Amino acid sequence: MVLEAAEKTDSDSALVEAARLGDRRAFRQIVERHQGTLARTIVGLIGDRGSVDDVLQDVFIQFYNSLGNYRGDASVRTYLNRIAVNKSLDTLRARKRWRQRFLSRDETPIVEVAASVETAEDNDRNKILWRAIDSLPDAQRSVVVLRMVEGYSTEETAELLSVEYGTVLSRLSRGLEKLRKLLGPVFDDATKPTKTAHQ
Amino acid sequence: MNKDDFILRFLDGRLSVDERHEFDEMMADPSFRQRVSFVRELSRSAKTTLSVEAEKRLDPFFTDRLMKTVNSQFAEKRVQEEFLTALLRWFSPMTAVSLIIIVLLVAGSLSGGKDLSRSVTESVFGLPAVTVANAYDLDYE
Repeated sequence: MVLEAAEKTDSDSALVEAARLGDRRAFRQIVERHQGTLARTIVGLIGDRGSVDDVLQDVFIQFYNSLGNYRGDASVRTYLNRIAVNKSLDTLRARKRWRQRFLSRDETPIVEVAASVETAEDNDRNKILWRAIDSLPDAQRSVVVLRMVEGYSTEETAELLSVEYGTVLSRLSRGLEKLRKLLGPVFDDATKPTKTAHQ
Repeated sequence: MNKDDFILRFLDGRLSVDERHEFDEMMADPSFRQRVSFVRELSRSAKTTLSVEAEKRLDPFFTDRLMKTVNSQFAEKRVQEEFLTALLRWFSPMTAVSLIIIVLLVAGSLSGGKDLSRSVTESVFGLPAVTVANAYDLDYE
């Protein structure tokens, strides 16, 4: 009955309320509704450095365990996204510690990405773009993903990453500069200056 | 001013009227126009690319597996709660009896306080005091 009420209103907060009362079907609906967006955020932040599946599971389990603390100040999407960002950053930190302990520094060679860009076919565009984003250092990639893909403002991005406003701006510039160099040939047609480019 | 952030704020529709005016002026520069096109295209394409990548990286039946974990956690929590309740139910009478005995002992000790020669056992239960010495005394009655 609780779920029926939640479905009728079709709102996240109604589903959260139902889930809080023990209705796990309502919780399932929340998962199905948000898993795509959250997976995109996580994959953007951790890249190839961890399991998206594991991080996403952790996000929803933490949310389930903290249903009682959710007061509705932020939307469910924002609340979940914050958990996802924190969990992804934890994964990156753990990975960094592990690498510092066991391996020498071995960032993805940018040359390799650039070489593949030059030989790119149109249908490889997604793959190349992914490799270019993934080749950015963690700090720059986090800013680019949160600011450009997830649509957070610069202030929100700074708050989420616990860095200064100016740091976000400089990381954004450096990240975009690298992407410009890597993806220039791929985006060439789309980015040629035109008279109609301005909306 | 950070040009990329300025462009992104334009794309987000977050520019003030003055900034919008400044943006229009900057658009006269072809290199700035190209920069805007790149940022716009990258933002749009990155969303699609990351969504495709995310879909590939999620193992099948994600929701089912998650719900299974949630259900088992829920069941585990319930078992723990039931165990604690049972423990509490069992301990409550024991605690009550212990408290009564302590109160009786304290009361006896206080009331027999005038006669210092009487032990607590004598005062409360009326039993003769037993010490290690007289326990081994064969004549003790």
